[in-house]
Amino acid sequence: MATPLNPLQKFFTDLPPKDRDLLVLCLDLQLTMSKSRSDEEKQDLLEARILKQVD
Amino acid sequence: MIFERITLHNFQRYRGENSIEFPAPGKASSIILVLAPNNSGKTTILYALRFLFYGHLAGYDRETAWNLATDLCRSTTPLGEDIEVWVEARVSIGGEPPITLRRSLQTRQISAGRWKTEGPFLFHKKTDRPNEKFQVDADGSLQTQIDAAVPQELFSWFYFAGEPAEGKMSHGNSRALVEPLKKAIQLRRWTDAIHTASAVHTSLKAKLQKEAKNHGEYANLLNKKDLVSRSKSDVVSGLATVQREIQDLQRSYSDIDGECLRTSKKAEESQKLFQRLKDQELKRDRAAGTLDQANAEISSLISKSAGMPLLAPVLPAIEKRLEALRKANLLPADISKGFIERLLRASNCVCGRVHDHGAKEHLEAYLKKTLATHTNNDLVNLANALEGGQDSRVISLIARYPGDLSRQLGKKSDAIRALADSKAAIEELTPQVKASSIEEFNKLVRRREEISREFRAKEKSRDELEGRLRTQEDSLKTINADLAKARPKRGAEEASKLENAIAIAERLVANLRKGQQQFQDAVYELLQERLRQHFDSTVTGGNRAKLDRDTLLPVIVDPADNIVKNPGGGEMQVLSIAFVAGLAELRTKINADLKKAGLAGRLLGEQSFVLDSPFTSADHNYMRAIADFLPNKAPQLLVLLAKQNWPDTVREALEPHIASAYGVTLHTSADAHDASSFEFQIGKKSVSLRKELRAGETAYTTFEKIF
Repeated sequence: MATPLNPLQKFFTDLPPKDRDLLVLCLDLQLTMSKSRSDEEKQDLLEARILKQVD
Repeated sequence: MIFERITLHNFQRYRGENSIEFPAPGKASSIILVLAPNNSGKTTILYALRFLFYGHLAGYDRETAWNLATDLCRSTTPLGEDIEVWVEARVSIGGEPPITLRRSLQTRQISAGRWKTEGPFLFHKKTDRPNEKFQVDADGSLQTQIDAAVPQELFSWFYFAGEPAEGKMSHGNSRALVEPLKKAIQLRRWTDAIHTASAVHTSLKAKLQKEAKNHGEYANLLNKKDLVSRSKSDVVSGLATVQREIQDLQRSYSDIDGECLRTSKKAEESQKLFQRLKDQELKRDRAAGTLDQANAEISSLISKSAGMPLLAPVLPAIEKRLEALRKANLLPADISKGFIERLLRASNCVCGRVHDHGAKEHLEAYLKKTLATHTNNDLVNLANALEGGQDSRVISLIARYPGDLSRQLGKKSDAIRALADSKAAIEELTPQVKASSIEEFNKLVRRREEISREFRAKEKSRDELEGRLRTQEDSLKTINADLAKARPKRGAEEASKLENAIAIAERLVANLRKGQQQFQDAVYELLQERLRQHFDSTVTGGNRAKLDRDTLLPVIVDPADNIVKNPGGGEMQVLSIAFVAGLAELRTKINADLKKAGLAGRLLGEQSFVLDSPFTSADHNYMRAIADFLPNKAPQLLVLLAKQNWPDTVREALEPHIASAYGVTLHTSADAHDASSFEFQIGKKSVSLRKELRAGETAYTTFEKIF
C-alpha cells in the first residue's frame, strides 16, 4: 500500500511545475554556496526567470 | 557530525596522544562508554571538542592559551622548546566522506614564567595516511562547514555536561536558542527566500506603475488591485494562523480529554474514598453529639439528685441495720436522737418511772450505737422514709438513679469508642483523599471547558476570515476584468507581460509563505511526535513534553498543560536527549522530502552525542529510565560517567549496548586518594583507573581501552 503523502510532500507535489521551479530556484539562491551573491544579484536572477516564464 | 576517532594530544590533563575510536554508525551497539574517577579529566573531552570546533575556550585567550598544555609537559620541556597541543578528529560532516580535522597550537617558555604561543590553527587532511600533509583552513571554509554542522549556540545540546542546553531549556531563557535552531534546520532559508521574492514583486510593480503613469484609470486600477491583493495576503496569512491554532486546540483538547478519562477512572475510586471519609466524619460528629448529650445527662442526674445517689450504695447496709434494730425491738421509726437526748436529760421516763442508772446506760448505748455512731438524723429520716414510704420523691430518685446513670455512662462509653474509631478512620482516609485525583480531575475538566470555549471563538474567526477572503477574490476578478479593458493600447503587450509577471511573483511569495509554514509544521509534527515517543513514555507522573509551535523548543507540562519550570529527577536530561534525538531523526525525514522536491541543501547532519554525566540530579528510578532510554537514540553516543553514575542498575541497562569502553586513568601518587574510588566494574571484570606516578612527575591522565 502506498504511503500517503505528508503535507510537505503534498505541498510540493501539488504545485504546478512552473511555480515549483521558481520556488526551488528561490530557495536554492539562499543556500550557503550562494551566500556570496548579493541580494540584488539574487533578485535580478529571480526577476529574469519570472519574466522569461511570461514570454 | 559522525566521529571515527577523537585524539587529544598534551591537551589539559592528557599527556601524549590519547584516542577514542568510534564504531561505524549503524552497528547494533551504539554506545561508547568512558568511565572516569572524579576530577580525572572526564569533562575535558567536551572542552577538547569545543576547542577543536571553534578554536577557543572560555577562560583562555592568546595570553593564557599556554595553560592548555599538560602541566607535566610544561614542567619537563626545556626553555625555548615547543610543546604541541592539539585535538584531532576523524569525522564526517553532513554525510560527506570523512576528513581529519586538527586544531593545534604551539607554545614555548621563553623565560621563567613567560610563554609564547602560536595558534590555534585549524588544519585538515583527507586521509589518515602519515604521508599526507595537513592543510591549513586558510579561507575559513572548513570553519564555515563546522559552524553550520554544529552551531556554537547548539553545542551544549549535542555535547552536554550535567545540565543540557546549559539550563536554558528549563528556565524560560531559551529564546536565544531559537534563531540558531531555525538556521540549523534551514527555516531561515525560507524567510530569506520570501524576502528575495517580495523584493522582486515590488520591483515588478514599480516597473508597471512607470508604464502606467500616463494612464490614470489604468494606474488607479493597478493601485486598487495592489491594495486588495495585500489585504488578501494578510487574510490568507491570518487564516493559516487561525487554522493552526484550531489544530493546536484540537490537539490540546484531545490530550486533556485523554487525561480526563484516565483521571476519571482514578477519580471514581477517589470518589468512593471521599464518600467513606464523609461517612466517617458524619459518624464522628454523631458520636461527639452523643457524648455531649450523655455528659449533660450525667451532669443533670448528679445535680438533680442533691447528693442522694451517693447514699445508694449504703442502702443495703441501712436495711440490714433496720432489720437488726427491728429484731432488737428498737425500731427507729418513731425515735430520734433528740428524743433520746430528751429522755436522758429528764429525770423521769415518759412513762413516769425514774430512770435508773441501768436504763440511762441502755439509752446512751442506743444513742451511741444506733444513732450517733452508725447513722445520723438524715439517715434516720431516710430510714423512716424507706420504712414508711413517706418521701416518694427521694425514693423514686434513688431507685431510678443507678439505672439512669448506668444507661448514660453506657451511652458515654459507646460514644467515646465510636469517636475514637471514626477519628482513626479519618486519620487514615484524609491523606488518601488528599492524594487522590478528584482535585486533579476537576482542574482538568475546567481546562477542557476553557479550551472548548477558545476553540469555538477561533472557529468563528476562521469563518469570518473565509468570508472576507471570498469577497476579496470577487473584487480581484472584477478589477482584473476592468484592467483588461483599461489597459492602454500603446505598450499593452509590455503591460500585460508585467501584470502576469507580478501575478507570478505574488504567487511565488504566497507559495513560499505556505511552504515555509508547511515546512515548519512538518518539523513541528515530527519533533512533537518524537518527544511523545521518547519523553512521555519514559517519565512517570503524567508530565509531558510539549513543543512550542513558533520557537520549536520543548517545555515540560503537567497533566493540566501548565509549564513545569523546575522539573526534577532527571526529566530535563530525558527531554534534552529526546529533543536532540528527535532533531537527528528529523534530518533524515525532512531531507528525504526536500530531495524528492528537488531541493538541494542539508539540514543538521547526522549527529553524534556526547553526554557527560547524564544521570546528574536524577533519582534512582530516572537513572534506570535514562539508561534504558539511551541505546539507539543516536548514531553514536559517547557517555562519560563517574563512579557514582555507574551503579549496578545503570550497568545492567547499558552494558548490552556498549560497543567499546575507555577508562580515564589518573596517574597519581598512591597515598593521594582512596584506592576503592578508582575501582570500576565492567562486564565481569574489575578495573583500576589509577597508575602510580614516577618520581618527579606531576599528576596527569590517559585513556585506556577497558572493554
